[in-house]
Amino acid sequence: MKKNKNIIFLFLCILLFSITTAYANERYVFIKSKSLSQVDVLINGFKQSYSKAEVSVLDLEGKRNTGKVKTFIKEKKPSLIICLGSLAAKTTVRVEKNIPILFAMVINYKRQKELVQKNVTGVSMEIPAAVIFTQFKMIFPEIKKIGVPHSPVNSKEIVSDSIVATNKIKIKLIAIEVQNPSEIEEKLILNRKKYSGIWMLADTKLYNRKTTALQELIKYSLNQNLPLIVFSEAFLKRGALFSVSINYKSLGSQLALISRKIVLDKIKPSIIPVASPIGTYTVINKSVAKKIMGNKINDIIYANVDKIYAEDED
Amino acid sequence: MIRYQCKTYVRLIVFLTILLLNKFIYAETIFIFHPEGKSSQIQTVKTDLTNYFKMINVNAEFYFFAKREDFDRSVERFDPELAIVSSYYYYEMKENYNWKEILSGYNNEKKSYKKVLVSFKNLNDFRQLKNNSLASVQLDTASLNTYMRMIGVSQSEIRIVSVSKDIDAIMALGFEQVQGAIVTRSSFNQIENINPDATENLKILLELSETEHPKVVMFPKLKKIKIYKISFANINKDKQNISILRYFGITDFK
Repeated sequence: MKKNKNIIFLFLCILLFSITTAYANERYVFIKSKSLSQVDVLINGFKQSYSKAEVSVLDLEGKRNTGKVKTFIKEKKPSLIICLGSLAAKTTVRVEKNIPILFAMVINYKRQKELVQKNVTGVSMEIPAAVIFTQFKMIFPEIKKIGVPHSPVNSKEIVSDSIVATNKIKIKLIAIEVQNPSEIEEKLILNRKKYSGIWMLADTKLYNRKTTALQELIKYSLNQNLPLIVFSEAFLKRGALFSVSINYKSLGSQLALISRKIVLDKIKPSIIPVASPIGTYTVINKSVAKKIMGNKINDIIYANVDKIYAEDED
Repeated sequence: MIRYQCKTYVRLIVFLTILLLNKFIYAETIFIFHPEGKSSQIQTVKTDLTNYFKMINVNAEFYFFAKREDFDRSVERFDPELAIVSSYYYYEMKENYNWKEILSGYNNEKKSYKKVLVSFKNLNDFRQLKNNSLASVQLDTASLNTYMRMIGVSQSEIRIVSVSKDIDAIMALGFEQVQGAIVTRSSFNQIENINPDATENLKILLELSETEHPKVVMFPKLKKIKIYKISFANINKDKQNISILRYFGITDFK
């Protein structure tokens, strides 16, 4: 009788152990650099795709606080840490060398050498040129030559990679080197005959608060009736035609997929390459489209985008 | 000239008929459940629907739902008169709600559309997708279940990455970030045409069942059926309403 009791006790212990282990396997933490609406959308996308996951969130409120991160990790004992933003990623990789870390929303991650660590992988912020221009071609199939003003110091590599990628979809990118941001208009005029549209890269050397290159670029594209493709919806308000940016809900879903590969399938982060974002969010500026295309515009193009500016403004 | 005049008269007659039928109407509640629609367009569609019905003197309030649970809960609370719902949801719930279909969505004369399962050329059996990942636009649980049954896996045996457009699903597959994509055949053909490089290693592995476009359905309490039937059937006459039809992926209601 006593022997039976012991067996039952042992069985219960094993059961309890397996339940708690399984429970711990589903625990994920998000560490965010600061509060942003995109971050909330991303976390919701993660939860919707992975409803079994137990999720906790730490907000660094824009401060590099290693102590706060350490305490949080110690308290939550997560199976995986997801860092949103450069500050969160850099702070976390410094204090955690074992638990898998996934980063996202880190601009130009290749330049962040600290993120190269065996327990770290992530999703980049850079949407591949092939994706951007496949979307663009669905809307404006007749535009085949696109000028790309860029600072060679910052963006030469991106431009040469993009030229190869877009060649395959029969779009010719014309690299326009701009050493000094104040020369942007001059360089655009100089190359004017070579292109019929412009692609604005996220080139911080050209476009920043200290330069007027952005204003000049938008003004030039409007004056010349040239489609301007940008990386953020915010520029549409100022006169750009088409934006392709990251869909944060899809990014959350993509992070959920990679998380499960690491936690459930036991694939090491070191052998998972940093991925490009899967989902895009496209917006078209209807009034600029009408201005550029005139009567040639076909309403069907609006079915291929996520949002029509300013029609779908909340 | 004569043709133009005829068209104007027809519009005038439609407008007057609606006005007459609508003489004593009060604010009615219309529910919309179309999870495949783009959420970023809901606000525009809501405004355009409200304006369209206001213009023809129909006072209607529109409520959009992303989840069936919310829809079901709100039916008890708001007691709606009418709904526009995805067809699979209509077939599933029509007896439960005593729904009667009053109009069906059409896209260029086609009542239904077909989705396909796309994967890599070296994959011969769609069951090989078990324990792998798929990209797809947001789907309701029921339609996802139907597709999963056709593929021969359960929802727990496959991981879904949710995207907002078919092109994203195809490109994700092209970049080998997922092993399959559920998209419409027309989207796949379009991308194949624009970017043959992205699709050169892909093929249609399975044709999924046809799905009808959304339906306008009435709850038993709706009295003024004709008003709504005429209004929705004429919604495509005004170019202003294109956003409404685009949201439902159709060109008209019949």
